[in-house]
Amino acid sequence: MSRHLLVSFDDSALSDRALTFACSTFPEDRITALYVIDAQSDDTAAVGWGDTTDQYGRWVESRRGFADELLRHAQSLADEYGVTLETVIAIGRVRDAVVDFYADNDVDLVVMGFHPRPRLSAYLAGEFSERVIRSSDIPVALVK
Amino acid sequence: MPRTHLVVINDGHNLHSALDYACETFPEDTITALYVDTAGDGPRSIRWADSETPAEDWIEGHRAEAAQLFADAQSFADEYGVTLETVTAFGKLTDAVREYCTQHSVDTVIIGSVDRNAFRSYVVGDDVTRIANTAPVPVVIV
Repeated sequence: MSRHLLVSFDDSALSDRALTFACSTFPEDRITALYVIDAQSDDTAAVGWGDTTDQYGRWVESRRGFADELLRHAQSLADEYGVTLETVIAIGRVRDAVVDFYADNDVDLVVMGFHPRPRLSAYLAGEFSERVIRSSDIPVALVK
Repeated sequence: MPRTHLVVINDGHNLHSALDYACETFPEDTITALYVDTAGDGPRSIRWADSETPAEDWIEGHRAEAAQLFADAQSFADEYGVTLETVTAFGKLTDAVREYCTQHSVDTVIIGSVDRNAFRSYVVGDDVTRIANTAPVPVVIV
């Protein structure tokens, strides 16, 4: 029976590596690339208030275009391994989207990039990957 | 001349002590309650495949969250006979507070402290400290 892998994908070199790892290791399996529009971790995120809801909407819309482009890039990486990706775009916090997707789908393994930084400060900063390894029951492969 | 005080009412920032302080100390001034949507509450992730209008759903949901917080804050301020002005912002908390103060006439920012021990805030720093460091006006941490 084939496995289902979820790759949390963004515009970092690390997530390229994570995706490459997934495709090269599990080319026969089902691989989903997830991009999350996350205003809290995105450097391009707009700041605004009051009646400027449109500004936020426009930012999301622009990120939506960026997401399509990025996921095409993901597919081009996967092409080298003959893998056809499933792609998903979500809005919210990256961590919530990964956990929600895992909960709603029959995922066997989550693959994500991982910045090796001192474990203590990562733990104190509440970094998602750190929290996943420490506390969740989600099987995860961290690629660095 | 009446002054304007900006009270950050994000959840988890000792909401009531900041409002309490502002209303009690400056009942004659304009008190603006600022909620910055930092995606901590309200709807969790929404996937494009699951909704026709995911971005709108997201924004609507978070606005509803803000409205609830403003209602709570106002009922708290009522005890002092203070009518709050309200502003919903989005983006990173520190940036939103700094930008708002830069573009509006704000005399002080008032924010509740977050319970964190000294070691942890030394290593990581927190939003309250960052606001105190970056806001262009005096910041009162309650």
